[in-house]
Amino acid sequence: MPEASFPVTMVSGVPVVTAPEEIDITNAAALRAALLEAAAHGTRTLVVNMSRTQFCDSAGLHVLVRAHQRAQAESGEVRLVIHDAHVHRIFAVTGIDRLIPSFPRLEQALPQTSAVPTSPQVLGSQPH
Amino acid sequence: MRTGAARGHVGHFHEAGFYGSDAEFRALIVPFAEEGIAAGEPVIIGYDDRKSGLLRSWLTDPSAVEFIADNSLYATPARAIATYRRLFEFHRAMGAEQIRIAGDVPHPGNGGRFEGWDRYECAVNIVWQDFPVWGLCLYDTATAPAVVVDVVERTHPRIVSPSGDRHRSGRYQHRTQFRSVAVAPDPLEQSAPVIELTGSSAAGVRRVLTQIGRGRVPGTVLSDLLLGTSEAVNNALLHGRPPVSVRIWARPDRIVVHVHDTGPGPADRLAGLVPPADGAADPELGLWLTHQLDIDVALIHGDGGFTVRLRGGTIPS
Repeated sequence: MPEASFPVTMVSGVPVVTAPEEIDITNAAALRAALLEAAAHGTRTLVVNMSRTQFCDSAGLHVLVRAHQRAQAESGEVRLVIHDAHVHRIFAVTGIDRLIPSFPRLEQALPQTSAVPTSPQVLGSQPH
Repeated sequence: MRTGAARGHVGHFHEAGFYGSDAEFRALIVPFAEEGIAAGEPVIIGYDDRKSGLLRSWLTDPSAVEFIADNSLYATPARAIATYRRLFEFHRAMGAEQIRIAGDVPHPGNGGRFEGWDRYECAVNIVWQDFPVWGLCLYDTATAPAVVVDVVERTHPRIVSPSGDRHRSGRYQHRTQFRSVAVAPDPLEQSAPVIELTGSSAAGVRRVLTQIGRGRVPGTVLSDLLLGTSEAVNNALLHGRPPVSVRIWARPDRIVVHVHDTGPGPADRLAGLVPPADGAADPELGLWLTHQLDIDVALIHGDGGFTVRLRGGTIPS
């Protein structure tokens, strides 16, 4: 069953929303709430970790695009972590992959982390 | 400044022409391409290998023309619309004042399936209106079936003849008047479905469809079917009229899904083909997303309600 809420954690000073296995109309509102909570931290970038996500419908896409637009209005952006090939393809065929940057790994989605290790705990101590 | 017959026109100048021989094809296509090249306008050609080869042999400088060799562009009508829009955006960003494009859509006369392309020919009157495009759609009357010729006459505001005569199509139908071609039934629909679900959630339907579809169609096709079916179920539950039923047929290489509600369905016959407005959510976004997938999608309006038919795997011709 879809989860009712999604955790927002700080990784290396960046809010990261962990998305569920399936994002659809039944939990898109909860995802939106989590994205708003993440945006409230005031950082320019927020990350949606979709590494577990294997299904994302139009309601999920809509929420992500709107969150990215809100972030852009504040000179920020949403970054996605996508593993699943089909989810990646959906972002490609809709052209959303050209709007919202996506990365295969969480560490790559975090800003200015090219020289830091992959562990989030260690990342938290890195200057950026 | 736009040149040729489209001089002064704003938006998509959508024109059709019919030919019955290579000589007539040449009379229609060569001036279109040569004038565009001379004016420095992008000229984009989307024909099969034989016709593209003929055009190359006729043109003074065929390298000045952009021949589209990617057959996947015409995989689905919605994908073609989106791909061409990106191409037009590129050329506009490069400063093009007019973009000339010529081609024909898949139909039995060129080895393709015409189903769905009637709505495409109507839709491009709207969805390309943002661009200075001159679309010249040339059809071979020797091979194009009568239903194709009929649709072409009803979807193109203008007709050009091999002699160069240009006139408005007296049979042109605006988007709001357009009558789409009836959807041909799938032979599988003659038999009893594998399962019929009534009142199920989209997630529940996805579980059932996963079990039925696994091993019958490629994984990517099944994923597309799951997404398209899920969108159709949610749209029916939210915007249709109950009861909402889902029927699934299956054979070793094909899955057919009907998502049915008893409402009238979307009033816009071009639903799903026109990109949703910025910020739009369901149902426009869901239908449009479904039309981007590598599955066959048909919207069937009937006396008993509205049905979204989704097919994946080997589609009968």
